[in-house]
Amino acid sequence: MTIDFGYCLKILLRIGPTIPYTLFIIAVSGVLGILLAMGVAAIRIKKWKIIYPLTNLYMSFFCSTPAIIHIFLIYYGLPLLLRQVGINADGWSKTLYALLALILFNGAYMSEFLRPAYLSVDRGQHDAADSIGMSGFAKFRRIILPQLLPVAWPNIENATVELVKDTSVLFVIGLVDIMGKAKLIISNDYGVKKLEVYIVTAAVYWLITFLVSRGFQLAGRKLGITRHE
Amino acid sequence: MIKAAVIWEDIRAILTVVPFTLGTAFFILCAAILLGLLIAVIRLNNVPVAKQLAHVFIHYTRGIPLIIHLYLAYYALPPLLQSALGLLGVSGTVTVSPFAVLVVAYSLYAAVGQSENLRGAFVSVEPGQWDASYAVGFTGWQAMRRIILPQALVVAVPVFFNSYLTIIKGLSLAFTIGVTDILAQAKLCSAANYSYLEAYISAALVYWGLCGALGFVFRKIEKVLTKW
Repeated sequence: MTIDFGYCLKILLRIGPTIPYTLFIIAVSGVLGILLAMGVAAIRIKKWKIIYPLTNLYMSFFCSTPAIIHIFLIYYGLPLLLRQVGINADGWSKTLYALLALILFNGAYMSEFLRPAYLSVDRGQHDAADSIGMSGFAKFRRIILPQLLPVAWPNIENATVELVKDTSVLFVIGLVDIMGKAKLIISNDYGVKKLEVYIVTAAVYWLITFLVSRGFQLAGRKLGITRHE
Repeated sequence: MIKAAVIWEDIRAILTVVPFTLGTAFFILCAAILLGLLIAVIRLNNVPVAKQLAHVFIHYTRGIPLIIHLYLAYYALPPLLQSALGLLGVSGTVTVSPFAVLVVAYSLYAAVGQSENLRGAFVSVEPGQWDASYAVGFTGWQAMRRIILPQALVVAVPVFFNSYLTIIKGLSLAFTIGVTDILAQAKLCSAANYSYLEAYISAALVYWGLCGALGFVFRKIEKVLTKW
């Protein structure tokens, strides 16, 4: 078996331009996903009536079905659903569906560890903050969050790495991100040197996950979230 | 609009491949646990060379999506096998079935997670437990089998269960290399009756039901385990 490294370099130049787009998808769905997860976790902690059982249903669905199914369901199902309420979704970009699928999945996935992280903060900390007259928001920002983050940080890092990996299935709805471009290259070149294309794709994903992981570790240390090991 | 009759029909077609998915996932999990044990032992005992190789492999699986790993294996394993056999003097073309590629590649991919799990589980058992075992005259193997392993398993088993569900979900990518599992079967249904959304809804319902039911059973077993 031989690998054509010159060809690999050419492939890299063709895949390269799709990297920013992929990073954009990762960033938007990561940030909005964690915001949704915080909302879901808050509902589950407060055990609000009516919505609480709904979050149970939502989490069980998104945690027990594969990411590829979410993308298919949202891409094919949402326009149909919207048409029922009189919204025409014909011209909507595929990016929107992809983002929605990733956000919904991460909202469920991340809330699964945000809730235990919140509950890991000792009850006495709440009482102490209340006793000195802190408002709800001040209590959360100054007392709870600094104790919650060190617990949740490694999980947030892992979830983001998983998110990067999950973007590799978006090509199934025809999105031209890193994997989508790789697929296009293969079909344009009539399937020659597939192995080279996948090696380059693998290397690009590996680099992104490596940088994301390092970024989290560095940020954790610089912001004083994680104690140095 | 969505046709309920088609969904029902699709679900019935999909259910025929569920045993295959469950069996394959179980086989992959067992292989991953054995490989994971090997990696964990290598890392805990600091075996030179093997330790570095394990390190590279851990970094590889952490950074590369399963789907690309499957494609790489699909295109690289047969030629690699061919050249390996060529070195041994065996000539002729080698054909590897997609199923074999899937099982080998996914077992390797899942092994890393299991090695972390097992390592954590063994480290979680207090070192004092070893001393106590030796104090009552157990040999190393006896201590392992009767004292350490039962305690480590209580930590490791819930993760095995969780991994089983993850592997079932991960097998949804098997269609990319031509193995028919739940999602691939749904795609076949949709190709036959042109009802795409119905097929995906059916697949989602099957996954949901499957993971829901398995999760319920696993939680019951975990409750029994924590009694020890």
